[in-house]
Amino acid sequence: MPALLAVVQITTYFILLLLAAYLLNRSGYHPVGLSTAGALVAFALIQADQFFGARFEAQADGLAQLLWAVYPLPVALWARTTILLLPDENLMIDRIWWTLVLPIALLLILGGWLGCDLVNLTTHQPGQLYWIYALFNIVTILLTLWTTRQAHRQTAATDRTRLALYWLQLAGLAYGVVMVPLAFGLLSPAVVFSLVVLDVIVFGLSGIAYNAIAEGQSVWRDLMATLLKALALIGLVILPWGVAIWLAKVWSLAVAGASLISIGAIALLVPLQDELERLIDSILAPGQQDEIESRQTLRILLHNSVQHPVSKLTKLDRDEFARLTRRALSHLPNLPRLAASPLTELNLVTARVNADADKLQRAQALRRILIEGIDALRPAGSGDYGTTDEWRFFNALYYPYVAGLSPYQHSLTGESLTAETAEVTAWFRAMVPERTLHNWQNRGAALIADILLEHERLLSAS
Amino acid sequence: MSQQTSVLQPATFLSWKTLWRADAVANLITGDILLFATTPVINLVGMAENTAGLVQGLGVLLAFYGLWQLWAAHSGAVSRQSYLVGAMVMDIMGVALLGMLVSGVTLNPTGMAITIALIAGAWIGAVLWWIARRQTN
Repeated sequence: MPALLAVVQITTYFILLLLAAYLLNRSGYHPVGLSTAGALVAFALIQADQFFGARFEAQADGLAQLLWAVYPLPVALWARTTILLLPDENLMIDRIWWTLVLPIALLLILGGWLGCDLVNLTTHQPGQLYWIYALFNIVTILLTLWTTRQAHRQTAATDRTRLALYWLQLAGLAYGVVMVPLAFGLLSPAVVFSLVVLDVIVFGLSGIAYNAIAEGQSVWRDLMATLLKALALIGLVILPWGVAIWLAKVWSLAVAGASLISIGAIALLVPLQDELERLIDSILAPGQQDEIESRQTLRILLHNSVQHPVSKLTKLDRDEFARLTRRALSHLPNLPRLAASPLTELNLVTARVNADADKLQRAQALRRILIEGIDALRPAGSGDYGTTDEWRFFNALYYPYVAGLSPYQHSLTGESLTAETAEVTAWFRAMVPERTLHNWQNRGAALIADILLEHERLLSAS
Repeated sequence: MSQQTSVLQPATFLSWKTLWRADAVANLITGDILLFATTPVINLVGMAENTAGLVQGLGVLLAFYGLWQLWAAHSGAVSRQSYLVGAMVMDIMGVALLGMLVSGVTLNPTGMAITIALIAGAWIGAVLWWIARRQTN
């Protein structure tokens, strides 16, 4: 039984890290992708900690102390993911996360580091942190359930992200359902462990599915290919060592640690291979930006097959088309990512490029169209820039995506900014919470999507 | 929201808000230490073992105060009312610590020095929040 448990823990650790890295690579570090991947990595590290704890007990105390840092994170980041999925602005729920959920998670981490135990390992009785940790998990998962329910309800029935949200909701519900009896000792830890592992995997897969649908891309073939590649590497690299260690009967904390690091490295590096290649490209050919961009585009296109043919784009649900536009706008500074957008197939784009134009040229044409769309949001006759209400949609899209400004970045100082950007940056920081900016970007993108859709339909009809 | 831009001074707001948030983090960490490392704290300041509940209670109060501070500073600027509450809490904390000191609670020299520093810190905090409140007018 302990051997079976160890196999399940290591397998879970591998799958969760693989899903996290895959999501990071696909989402291009989108906030939803980041928080979902963060939750998956944290849960993978909890598996590693459980594995070390069960096998090496007191020997692994130092490691357990260090890994305590990840225990409150999965549920907190899970909540963050669902909050980010809410289609409409909800400042209160955002505020709850930033000022209650996250700080309490950090307080729990500090509490653990100060020497308090979750469970007293000698007496197996709840430690000083147990009830606070249990309450934190239960309340946060309830918040998560509420936000997922809201996101699900606010999504149109025809919108295909609804299915991913449904699974996300189901995973959250199952997690909550097993956590409550576990806290009161009513359910066997083995049953809870299996259900929680299953929940977290469903959570990761739902996150990946949501991201792919939102980008208008298909995912399963590529995900399976990545999994097979990683498994092949595990078979080639880890298995011979595993057999050798087993035959030699050498099993220590150091050997186990090295094995888990190797498994983790394979799980992370196979999906993040593109990022690694991009890094190597930028080191080996620093001046050749165009070539680096072309190579990156090829890699992204290889992994992100577009799901919607042009004939179907104009028939999409309005919300879904607006979401594709929103994602394309967020990829404006990143041409290779923009090249993977289904919007590059629009007739509006075709009308602007040569018949033999490649994906990168189409992406450049789409970028021009989107910038024109943003420019259409600029208030007429109100000067070059402003911070009044009528400027908000333009400012929310233009400065982050066209001007390349990160208004909340602390390294941004007055000396490096023009008068215009300094004023706008000060306005963003003092008056526009990040969640509001995100909401304005969504609403601005919806307006641009309406304009695009109208022009595309006119062009298709003519 | 943007109509306020001409009336308020974002730079002043941001400085006070940053200070307010830093104070919130300091209160949270202190509260956490009092709550979860009670015995080492008691040993450090030389208090009696039976005061553990009091120290933990203070830790919970400080942690809640820190959480409330973060809550109040989440969006836009910190309101005048929040600064007022902050100043009052600091005033009360200074008085309570002074009361503890004069009531003869057992403290070693380190504990005495820490308590005096905390009283001074609390009252300096109270003055700062009063100034912040006036500047936010």
